[in-house]
Amino acid sequence: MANPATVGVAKNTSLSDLNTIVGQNEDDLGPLTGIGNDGTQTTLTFDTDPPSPANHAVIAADSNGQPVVPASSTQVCRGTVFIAGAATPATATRPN
Amino acid sequence: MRWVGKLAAVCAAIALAGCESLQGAPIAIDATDTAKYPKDTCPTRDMITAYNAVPLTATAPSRRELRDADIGFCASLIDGQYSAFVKQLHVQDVSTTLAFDLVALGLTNGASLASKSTANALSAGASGVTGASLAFNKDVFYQKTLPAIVAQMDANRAVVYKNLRLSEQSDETVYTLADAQHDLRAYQAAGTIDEAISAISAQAQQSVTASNNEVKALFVATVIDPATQTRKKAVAQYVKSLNLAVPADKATLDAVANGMKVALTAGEDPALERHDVLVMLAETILDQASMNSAATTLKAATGKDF
Repeated sequence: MANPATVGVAKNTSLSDLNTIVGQNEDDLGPLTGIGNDGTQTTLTFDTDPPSPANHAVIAADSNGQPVVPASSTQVCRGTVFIAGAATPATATRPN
Repeated sequence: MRWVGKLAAVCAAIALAGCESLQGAPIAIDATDTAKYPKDTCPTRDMITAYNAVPLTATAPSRRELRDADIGFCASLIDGQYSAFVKQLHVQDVSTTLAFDLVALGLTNGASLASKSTANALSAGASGVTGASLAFNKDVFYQKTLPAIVAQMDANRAVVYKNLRLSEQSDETVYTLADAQHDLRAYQAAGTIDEAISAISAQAQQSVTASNNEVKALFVATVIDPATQTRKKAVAQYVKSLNLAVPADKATLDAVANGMKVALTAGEDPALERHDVLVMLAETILDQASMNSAATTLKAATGKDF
């Protein structure tokens, strides 16, 4: 059964720090399952039930409205997050 | 061809008149036969009076047997009215759809044999009737929502009936026939569209609340220094490795929860307890100082050094 835990991230956080926070909280809580915002900050949702993943999810800004999914990666979730203060449509992917 | 429009209007009126007022509840059992059943809910005042007149020491039937017999009798009346009500709901659905479909079929079949002008009029009339049927079904929403409403009424009735039967397990001095009268009213009310819609709305609101709670941030996360994060990760991995089905591991989880001052609820799902512990650890361990403090607590709870 999924047990979601949502954490906030300050809206002025850089993309690099945002991904560091994703990786650290995947280690502490579980796999990332959702990204978004509540108007004032980025929100990241993790599932505490399964084991922590070996490969961390990575968030990248969409390109021309389309998700950017690197080769050998799988799309995890999509949403609008704050990157350096700007609301940005983005996609989280996980290396296979 | 004005008669085409008039025909369509007549058919619409016939179908609409059949279900102008939507019956939202079964006919109350106190209205079924006023000669037989006085205008009271079941059990009636007379039934309760007769029951109260039976001595506590009576046997064959005992007071309790009489109580249960009266409850069963009233419940079966309610069930009968409910079944008739649900059947009528379905009849209204079928008759409405059928009336419109027949008209549409008759009009379009005649179009190919008529003169050009008549064919145009007939086809236009058919389009009008078909359009009216769609609008009518949308307004009444029968086909899509009726099964869900009936299912919810059934569910509501099942809950009330179960509680009624549970109450019957108490003796007649604790659960009297008058008490049962109240519960039977609730049983009757459970089989109404109003109650079904209320229950469906409440469930939808609970779902919205749960969803909102899921996306509400529990705390604000920041980047943790690498050395602290290495230790913090080890703690999280340890907690996740505990087998919640093993009593010793569950006890360790409880000790960690108590040490971290995580509120525990009796009978809580262990997975939820672990969830709360992990969230508390993630929220409170931010730097070396907080990691050292947590490590002291965890040493006492687990015997391990982090």
